[in-house]
Amino acid sequence: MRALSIAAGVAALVLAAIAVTVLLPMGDPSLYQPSPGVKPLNELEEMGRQVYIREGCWYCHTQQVRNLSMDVQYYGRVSSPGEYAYDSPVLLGTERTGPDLARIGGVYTDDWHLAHFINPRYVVPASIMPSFSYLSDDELEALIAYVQSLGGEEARRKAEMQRRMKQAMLEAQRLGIEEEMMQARVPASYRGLENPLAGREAVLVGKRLFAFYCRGCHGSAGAGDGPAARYLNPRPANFTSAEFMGSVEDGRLYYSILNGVPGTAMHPFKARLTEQEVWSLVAYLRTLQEE
Amino acid sequence: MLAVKFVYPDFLSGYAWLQFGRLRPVHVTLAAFGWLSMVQVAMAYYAVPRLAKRELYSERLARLSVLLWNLFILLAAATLLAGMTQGREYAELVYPLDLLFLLLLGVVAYNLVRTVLARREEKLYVSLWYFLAALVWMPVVYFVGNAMWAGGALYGVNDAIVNWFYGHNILGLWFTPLGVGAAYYLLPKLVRKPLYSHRLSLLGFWTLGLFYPWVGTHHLIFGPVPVWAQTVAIAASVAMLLPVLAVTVNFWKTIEGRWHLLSQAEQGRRFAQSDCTALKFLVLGGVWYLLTCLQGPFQALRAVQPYVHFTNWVVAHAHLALLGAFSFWGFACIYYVMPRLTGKELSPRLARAHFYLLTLGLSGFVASLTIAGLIQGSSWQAGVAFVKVVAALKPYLIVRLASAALMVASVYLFLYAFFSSLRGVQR
Ligand code: HEC
Ligand code: HEC
Repeated sequence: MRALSIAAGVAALVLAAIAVTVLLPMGDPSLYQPSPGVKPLNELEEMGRQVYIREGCWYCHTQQVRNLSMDVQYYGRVSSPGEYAYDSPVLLGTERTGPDLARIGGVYTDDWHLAHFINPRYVVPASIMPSFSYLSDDELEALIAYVQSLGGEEARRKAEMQRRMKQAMLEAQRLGIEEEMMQARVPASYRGLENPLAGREAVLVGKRLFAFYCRGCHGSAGAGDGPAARYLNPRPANFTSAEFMGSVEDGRLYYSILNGVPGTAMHPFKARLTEQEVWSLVAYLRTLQEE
Repeated sequence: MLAVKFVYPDFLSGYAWLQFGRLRPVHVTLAAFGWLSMVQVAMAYYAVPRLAKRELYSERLARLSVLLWNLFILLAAATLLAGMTQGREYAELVYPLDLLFLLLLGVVAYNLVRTVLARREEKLYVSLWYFLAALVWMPVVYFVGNAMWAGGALYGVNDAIVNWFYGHNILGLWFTPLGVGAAYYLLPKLVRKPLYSHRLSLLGFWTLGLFYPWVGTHHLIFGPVPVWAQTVAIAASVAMLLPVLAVTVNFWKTIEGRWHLLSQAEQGRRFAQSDCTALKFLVLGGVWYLLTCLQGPFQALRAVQPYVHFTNWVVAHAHLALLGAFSFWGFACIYYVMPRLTGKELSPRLARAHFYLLTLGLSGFVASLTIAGLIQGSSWQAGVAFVKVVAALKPYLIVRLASAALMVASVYLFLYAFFSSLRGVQR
């Protein structure tokens, strides 16, 4: 019968394709065995992963660093199949409306993520990521734990380090030795640097950059009271305070913007800003102090 | 037939950024399994008996499938909005719904295959080949993608490979054969001329079956899957040019000499106005089809991938295929079939407005997203800060929104025309 032989023919074609493209890779141990050091998620992280799936984060975020220099430059080490061995469903993703998250763990502090999930525009004014303020506190905690685990052991170590640094900062605040600690952090070679840029033009460039990157935390006027500030501890620096601005050198401002302050929501801007731009920001910050 | 349109207004609803992550699967599922699949299957129900020169094997089963299908869509939308998802693209639905879909697919396939087997026409027209193949392929593809591993027993990279085998093949082995089959059915009727070459259409058919099932992994190029698997997928993607050109040449040659039918309706023929609209949709759908299918192999190349993958370019590509090619063909089917079922044409004025608004909207939509995609790709390549790229896309996203609004408006016009023509019939 002609119709039946067509049916059999097309069935054979698709089965052949399944055998080679689907079943063959399944026999390859390097595709399903965990890489050394890759561990299953703990309970809290797993719960966060479920939230991640349910809320469709994976439509906007990939979790794969491809073997391309552009990916490595943005996100770090290339992903290997063994890293996904415990993932079901696997969340490789197909679209980067937002950045890849495969190596995001430990890059930011927990409180950065909290403020960001409550409303991404609090932290990143130009963001188009949806707000997840409707999640419960437990769900937010789990989601943060999950995001901080992305990138494996290395990420967990970095996130743990952030938490320890935060405790140290808060302890120093309590003892009133915070300033000493902040100063000690900055290498002497930076502290003496002078701003090579000055004048109106640099200030205007700095002002624009500040509105684009910084105002969510530091506030539009730089008073440390942006919409994200109330979720952050330690709180953002207040550039209108004469006391604070009087005690820090340009070199330290420059160093902190480039490298961030570990343990706080102030993350490094090295990858996003050129040295020129950072100096423009420093010039702008100097204009904010109230008399 | 009617059931098709109940889901229609939702077709383009997915553009709110608000809770985007929940809406997006609803948008995709309704567009793919609500609108497109239902129109295409409706067309198969219409065309298969006519090509087989006998009535449908079972009217009762057909009614059952319509009922099940609407139930399925309703449950699908409800579960997705409630956040119940498997977390696999195009395969989000929870396991029981997967089984329901397989069941109703089985009912449709059984009914149509029995009709073909008992046909009174010796010759098997190429549309029947395509319909038959789709009905064999889809259950297999859906089973492998959704049911074989009992909703989640797959881990890691293999999960992605299976997902993309499935994801791309609902396009390649379901929408494509159903759509091309319908187009092959309509074209000779609309231009009143036999198909240019039966042999060429069969070449297109077998090469489609030969190459399409192999392309899925091209979604993972440079990703954590074996390089040989990527290469196979790229090669198959390029080979896809063959069936596409076969279809295009065949269409072109068939229409040759009848181009005037596009702009003016044939005098004195029944339903000439409506057929003219149908032909417009059919031909422009063919153009979109060619464009998408030229894009496909191009973007699968390793040299192009870094610039387009993960960007809005791909979103444009997907809409060009589903909304351009296959939806345009779907509308062609409706404009052709409706008058023949109800004896009444849809308002020609509204039909024209529908056509031009939709075309304008789609063009703006695809153009803005394609440009946005190229900006993303080249900026990332140059290492521009990610948020800066996000901010730079804003104007394009606004154009996209406006275009989407045009398309929604056109679809409401269509719905209005559609239902008012129905009301006339009941009276
Ligand atoms: C509509 C698309 C979209 C959705 C959905 C989405 N995001 Fe985002 N996400 C973005 C964009 C755009 C950015 C970049 C701007 C920013 O940092 O807010 C981003 C940034 C991020 C970042 C910071 C990454 C970095 O390298 O700075 C994290 C972490 C993140 N998203 C996590 C999530 C999580 C978790 C979810 C789900 C609860 C989610 N996103 C849902 C679009 C989205
Ligand atoms: C996610 C919130 C956040 C964003 C965005 C942010 N900051 Fe901060 N920033 C902080 C917090 C919190 C501190 C306080 C750290 C501490 O305890 O000293 C801080 C401190 C600082 C300091 C003082 C560091 C020191 O040495 O005492 C400077 C300078 C600074 N930020 C500049 C900037 C600039 C410039 C930008 C924009 C390019 C920016 N910040 C964006 C949260 C943020």
